[in-house]
Amino acid sequence: MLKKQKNSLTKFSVPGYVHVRTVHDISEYKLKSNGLSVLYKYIPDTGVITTNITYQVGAKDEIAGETGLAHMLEHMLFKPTKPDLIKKIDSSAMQFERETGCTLNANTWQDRTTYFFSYPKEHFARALTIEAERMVEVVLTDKEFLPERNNVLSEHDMYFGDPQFALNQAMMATAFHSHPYGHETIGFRHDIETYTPAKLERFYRNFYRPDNATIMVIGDIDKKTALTEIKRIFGHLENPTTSVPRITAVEPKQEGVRRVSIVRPSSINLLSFGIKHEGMPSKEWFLLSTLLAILTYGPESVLNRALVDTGLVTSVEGSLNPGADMNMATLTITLAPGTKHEVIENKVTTLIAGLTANVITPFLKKVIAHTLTDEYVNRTSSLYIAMELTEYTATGDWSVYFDTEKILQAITAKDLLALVKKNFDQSQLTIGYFIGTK
Amino acid sequence: MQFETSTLPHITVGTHTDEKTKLFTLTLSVDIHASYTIAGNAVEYVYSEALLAGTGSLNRSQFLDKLNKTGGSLTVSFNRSILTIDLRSQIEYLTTIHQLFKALMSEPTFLPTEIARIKKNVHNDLELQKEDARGWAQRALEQTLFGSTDRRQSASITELQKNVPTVTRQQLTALHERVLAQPWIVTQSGTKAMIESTNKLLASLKAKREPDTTISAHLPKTLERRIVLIKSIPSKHNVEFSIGAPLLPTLHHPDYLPFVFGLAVLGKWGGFAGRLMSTVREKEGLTYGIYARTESVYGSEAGYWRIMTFFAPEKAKTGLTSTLREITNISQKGVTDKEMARFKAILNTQQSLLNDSLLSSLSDLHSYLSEGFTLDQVAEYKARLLNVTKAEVNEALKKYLNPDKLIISAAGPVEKIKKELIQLAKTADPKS
Repeated sequence: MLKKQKNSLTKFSVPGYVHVRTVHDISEYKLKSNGLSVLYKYIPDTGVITTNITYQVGAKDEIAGETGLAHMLEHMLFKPTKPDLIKKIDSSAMQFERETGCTLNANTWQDRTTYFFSYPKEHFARALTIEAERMVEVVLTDKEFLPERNNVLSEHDMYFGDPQFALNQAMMATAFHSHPYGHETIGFRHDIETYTPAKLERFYRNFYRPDNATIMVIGDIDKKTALTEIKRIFGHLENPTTSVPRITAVEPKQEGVRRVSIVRPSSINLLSFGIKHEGMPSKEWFLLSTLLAILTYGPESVLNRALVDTGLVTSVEGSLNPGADMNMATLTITLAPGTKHEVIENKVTTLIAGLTANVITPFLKKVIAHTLTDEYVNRTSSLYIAMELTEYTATGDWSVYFDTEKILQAITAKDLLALVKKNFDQSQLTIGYFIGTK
Repeated sequence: MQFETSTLPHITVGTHTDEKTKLFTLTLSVDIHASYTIAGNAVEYVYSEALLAGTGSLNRSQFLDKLNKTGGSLTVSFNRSILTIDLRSQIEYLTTIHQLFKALMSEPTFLPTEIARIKKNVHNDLELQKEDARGWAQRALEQTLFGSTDRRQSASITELQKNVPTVTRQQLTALHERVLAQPWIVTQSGTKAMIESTNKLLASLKAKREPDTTISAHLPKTLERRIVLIKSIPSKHNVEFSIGAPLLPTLHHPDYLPFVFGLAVLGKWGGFAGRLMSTVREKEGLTYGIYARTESVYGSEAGYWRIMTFFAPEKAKTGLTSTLREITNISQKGVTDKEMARFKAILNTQQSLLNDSLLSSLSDLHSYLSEGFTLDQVAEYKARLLNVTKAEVNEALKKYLNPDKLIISAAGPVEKIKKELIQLAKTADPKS
C-alpha cells in the first residue's frame, strides 16, 4: 500500500497539463486546451472513486427576479442531454445511478454549484463522460423543465415551512440591500414560478464552461490514468469567446441595526442575530467561527450555560456560510414557551458585550481540539473530503484545507474581543424575530 | 474494509484496526426494552442527558471541561428503548476519554439539581416536536399499528410532557442498572493497542449477571381497510405523509429479503432509482422526494413497511393517487427482469461503496451484530439478498403490499384537503 502511495505522489509531467501546485497529498493541474482545473488525491485500496465538478456559479450570480436560477439549472443537469436524446435514452446521469447504484447528487450555494458521483472505480470514464456532456449539451425545453420546476417548488416549500429557514431568508434580504447574497439559493417562490427555458439557457451558456470549473478526483485511481482520461474526455471542450459575467455589487455601509419579523400560526418562537463578516477563508471568518463555537457549541458553551441550562431557551445555534464575499453569520435561539424575544435579546447582547479574556481563553484550546477531531472523522471518506475541498475551492484557495489547525492556533482572546467590538456592534447587526401565534 | 468480531461476557464486539489512524471511534448500543410505558419513555428522555451530567468524582462542569479539552465527543441517545453511546477521540487523548467513559458508566450521580434542570430542558425540547409534521406522521402510523406495550408505541407529546416531571432519581438509577445488565453491542475502530485497552475497560464495566430477556413484543395489528390519520399543523407549507402497513415476516423469514428487494424497486431510500422517484417525482413533478423501506424489524419482532413523502396541499390528492397507483402496479404486476438485474447491480454497488466510509461500514456492521449475526452470516445474508429470484420478489410484493389495506398518515396544512383525504380512504380503486 505504501509503495502504491509513493508511486502516485511521484512528480511527473502529463502532456497537455500545467502542474499548478502540490500541497501535501493533493495536486492541482490545469488543462492547457481549455483551462479546466483538476484536483487529484489518491486513496488506495478502497475500490471507490469520488468525482466532483464544481462550477464557479451560484446564487450570487443571479439578478433580481431570477433568484434561484442557479439551483434550478442544477436540477436540469439531471435531465437528458443532447447525446442522450440522440441515443434515445433517459438522462445519462440518472441512468448511471439506476444501472450501477452509484451515489450521485448536486448542490448549489452562494458562490458555486457542485455535482458529485461516488462509484466503483471501473466506472471512472463513464462518470467523466456524463460530466463533460452536461457541461455543454444540456437540453432546456418545457417538456423537461416544467415537471422539474414543480419539484423545485416542492423543495422550496419544504424549506420555507421551517421557521429557521424562513427567518434566515428574511434576515438575508434585510441585511443585504445591494449584494446578491441577499437571497437564499433556492430563490423566491414567485421567481421560481416565472422561470423560462430561455432564462435558464442564457444562464447555462454564461457559466457552464471548462474555464469556470474544477473537477476533483479523489479515490482509488492512479494519477496518470486519471489525468489521461480527463484530458481525453474534457480536453476538446471549448470556452465561449465571451468572459464569465460577474455581478460586482458592493454592499453599502450599514448605519444602524436592521430588524425583521415573521409571524405565523406556530408554537415556535425564534430570535436570531445576523452578524456581518468578511468572506471565507479570511482570518475574520475563522475568528467568527471560533467565537460562535465558544458561544453555542455544546452544553459547556457560554449561551448554553446561561440560557439553556436556566430553561429560558430550548437551544442556541451558530451558523457561518462558506461564501467568498462579505457575508452574514447567524446566532439563532429557540425560545422556551413563555419566554419573550426582547428579554433574550437583551440578555444575549449583555452576555456578548461582557465577554472577557478570562472567559474566552479556556475555550480556545477546546475549539481547536474539537475542530481537529471533526476533521479526522470527516476525512475518512472520499465523498466527505470532496465536500470539504469544494468550499475552499469555491472561495479561492483549496490549500487552506490543510491549514485550519495553524490558523486556529494563531487566534488569541484579544483577536476575539476585537471581533466582538467590531462585528457585534449594534449598528452592524440584523435582528430577526420569528413570532409564533399559537 | 476488514473487520473482526470477538466476544466478551455479554458483549459482542466488532472491530476495525488501523495502525496509522489518528482517530478512535466506538459505538455501544444496549436494548433495554421490556414493555412500553409513558413513564418509562419519559425516564429514557431524561436519562440521555442525565448520564452526562456528573459522575462520582466530577460534577457536570468538571466532566464537560475535561471532555472538551480532549476535543472528543460522547453522545447518548435513545430510540425505541435502544440506548446508543457514541464516542470519538483523537489517539493522544484516549486515556482521558476512557477515564470519562468509565466514570459515566460506573458512577453517574443523577444529582437532584441536575435532574430538575434536565426535566425542564426535555419539556422544552418536546415542545418543538409538536410542529414536527414528518415525525408526527410516522408516530401516528406506529401508534395505530402496534399494541400499547410495544416498543414502537409512543405517547402524545403532551402526555410525555406531563410525565417528565415525575421522573425520579431512583428510576434513573434503575434504568442505568438495566443498561449495565443487558447485552452490549460494540463496534469500534482504532489501533490494535487502543482496541485491546478498550476491550479491557468494557469487560470491567459490564455487570456480571445474566441479562433479562423478557421483551414485550406484539405482532402489528392487521388492517382490513384503508385508514387515514390527519393532523393539522398550519405553520407548515407541505403535507408530510407516512404511508404503510404491517409486515409480518422478520429478518430470517423466507419472504423478508425478497420483499426488501421489491420495496427497493418501488422506492429505494435515497437517490433517484426507485419507481416512485422515477414517476411521482421525475415524470409527474409532484414531490421533491418519495422513498420506501421496511421499518423497525428487530430480530424476531415484526415491523412494517413505509413510504415517506410530502406534497403541496393542492397536489396531495394527485400525489397520493399516483403513489397508490404505483403500489397497485408493483403489487399486481410485479417487477420486471430488467429491474431485477438493475437492482442487483445497485444493491451490490451499495456494498462496494461502504469501503469508502469507515463510519458507514461500522454502522452497517453494528446493525447486523445487533441482530445476532456473525461476520460469515452477514456475508451470507447480503449474498442472499442479491440472489433472490423474480418469482420470490413478486410473490412477496403481492402478499404484503395491498393498496386497499394500509394507513395514510398526514400532517401539515391539511385543513383544505381533509375531505379529499377522507374520501381517498374510502376509495378502493385508486384510479377512480
